[in-house]
Amino acid sequence: MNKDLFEKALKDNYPNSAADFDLDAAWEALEARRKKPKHHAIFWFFAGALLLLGGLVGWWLQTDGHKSVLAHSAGEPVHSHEMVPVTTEHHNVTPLAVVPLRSIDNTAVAKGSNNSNPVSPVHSPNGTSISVKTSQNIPQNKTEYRVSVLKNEKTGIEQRLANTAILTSIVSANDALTNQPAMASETAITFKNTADRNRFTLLETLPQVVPLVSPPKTSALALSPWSVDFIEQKKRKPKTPNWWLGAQATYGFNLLKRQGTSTYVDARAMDELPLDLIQIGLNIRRGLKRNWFVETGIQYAQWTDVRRYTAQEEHTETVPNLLLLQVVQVNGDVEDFYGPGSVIVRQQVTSENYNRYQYFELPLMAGKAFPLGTHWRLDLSAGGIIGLGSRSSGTVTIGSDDLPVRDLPYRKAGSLSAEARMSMMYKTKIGSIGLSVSGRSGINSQTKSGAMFEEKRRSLGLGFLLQHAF
Amino acid sequence: MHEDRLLQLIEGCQRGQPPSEKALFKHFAPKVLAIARRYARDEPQALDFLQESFVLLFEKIRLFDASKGAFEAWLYRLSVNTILQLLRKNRNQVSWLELPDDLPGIEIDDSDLKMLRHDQLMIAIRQLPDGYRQVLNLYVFEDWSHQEIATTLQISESSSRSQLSRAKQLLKQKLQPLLRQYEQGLI
Repeated sequence: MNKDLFEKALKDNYPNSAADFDLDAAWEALEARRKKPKHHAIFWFFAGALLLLGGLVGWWLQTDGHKSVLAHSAGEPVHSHEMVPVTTEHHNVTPLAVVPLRSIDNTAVAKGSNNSNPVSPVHSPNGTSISVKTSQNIPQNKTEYRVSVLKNEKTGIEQRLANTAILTSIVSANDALTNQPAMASETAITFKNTADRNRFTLLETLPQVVPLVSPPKTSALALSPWSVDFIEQKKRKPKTPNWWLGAQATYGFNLLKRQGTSTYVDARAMDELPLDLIQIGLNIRRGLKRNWFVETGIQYAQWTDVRRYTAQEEHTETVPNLLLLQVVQVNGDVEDFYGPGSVIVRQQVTSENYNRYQYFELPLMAGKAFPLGTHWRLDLSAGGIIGLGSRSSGTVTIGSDDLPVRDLPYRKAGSLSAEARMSMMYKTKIGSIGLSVSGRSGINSQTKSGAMFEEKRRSLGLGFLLQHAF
Repeated sequence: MHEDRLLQLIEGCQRGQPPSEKALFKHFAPKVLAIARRYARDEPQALDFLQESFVLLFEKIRLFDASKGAFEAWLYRLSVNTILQLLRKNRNQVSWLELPDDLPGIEIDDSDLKMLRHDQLMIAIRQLPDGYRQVLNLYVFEDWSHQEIATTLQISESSSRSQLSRAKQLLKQKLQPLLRQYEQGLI
């Protein structure tokens, strides 16, 4: 188009950039307008996971490991050597033969696309040439042409073409279009396979059928002035997220293996029974190509052993009315003499004690996800777990002494384990939820070299997982 | 902005990263606002056009393919189309002024316009009736044909030509007093 001097001057002299406005204020206004979702759901999701983690850690740390339960046997009364003046008493007194039992009962988890291009005129059989618009889908590798818009019955927007204009329908590869000739009356064109079955009304135009003409290929994408509210774009395949944030809680069996000085190992095996493993953590996952992923995070693991042992307790009690002496008279009568005396009481007490070995761990996992349909996914992963800080509670018997576990010098602060996990995840609106089966095995001993024994632990557990992709 | 940096920002925006979106906005917002100001009748409307353009940009940026064209051209077209959509929504408010055919011819050239400040030119364009302003913008600045203008604005091609002519005459009429003042040294 040839422009006159004024038009050229206008275009050349009009500023192409605005310098006099507050960019920061404009950005803030834009952000407010976009009303980005604040991801409240995600916040509560992970706040809940953190609370759960913190609460469980705090609860376990607060719990007293020692527990004693009731178990006892009677002790034999022992006569005291202390003599008191004998008094004759003839009334019946029940001899004190049984010491009262002591019970200690301490109970020791666009709008569519705005794309269209002007094309070269379409020629009808009678020679009238008209221009129509077609649309070109920007992101597709193949050029896909859509129907020009006339009137959308859904929105009511009407496009009046010039008198000689005619609609040509151009069918994309995937759509089956019932092509109706442009006749004298209004004709409905129905798309068979489009996602949105908008109906289009072909306005009255030429009385003859115009053959379909493929528009020429255009160069670079050029958006047309057309608003293509009328046609819904095909839905793009959702982009696979690259990052996930997750929380997991696992409960499993605790399988303990000790090897070493047999007397010591056997003695501890008699007393101690491995109980369970609790593992809670937060993790972050990075998706790689072809559904592979790597994952790390921070988790808290607690191995618990229960130690049951029996101890004999002995103490002396003074009783006021103890049978001190029996005198047999000449005539055969028996005379009993009572008085205060001491007895020794022996008791056997069985106690339960929980030994806990707690670690903060860094898992390093790699795996692959296998999508099963739209919502389900199977994840298989394996890797190593590095135990960082550790803490222990409870007591062990060494010789005749009970020592706190935390004071034992032979325990290592760190640990190294291998883990394999299989998870079945279900995708929801706010994230994925799932169950897992995992097995882990200690790679190195939890005791230092030079200790009397080696200790490794294994576990097989069931877990609950939450994940959110972003 | 260096092309690599621009591509980085685009990728960041395609991933929905707010820092990239902000950087992209800060770089291109002045240009988009300059376009918006040509179409708007006042500054609040221009800012509204600016925001709507970027709202759509951030929604559609995933569709952008760098191998198929320059980003700036893509953004430019997206902005113009957005503005036209918004104007079309308010098309009942679009005013057309019927001017007499015998307007005196005024000649204004490049050197004359260079004397004017940018805001004076902008104000003069803004003072045009909406319909004239749209035709003027689409023909002069967007390089559309009268056919395309006619189709978009739902007018005839001949109407588009006459509206452009009248828009230019009216604009010259508005600019002439300013130019006289410059010539006389009054401003």
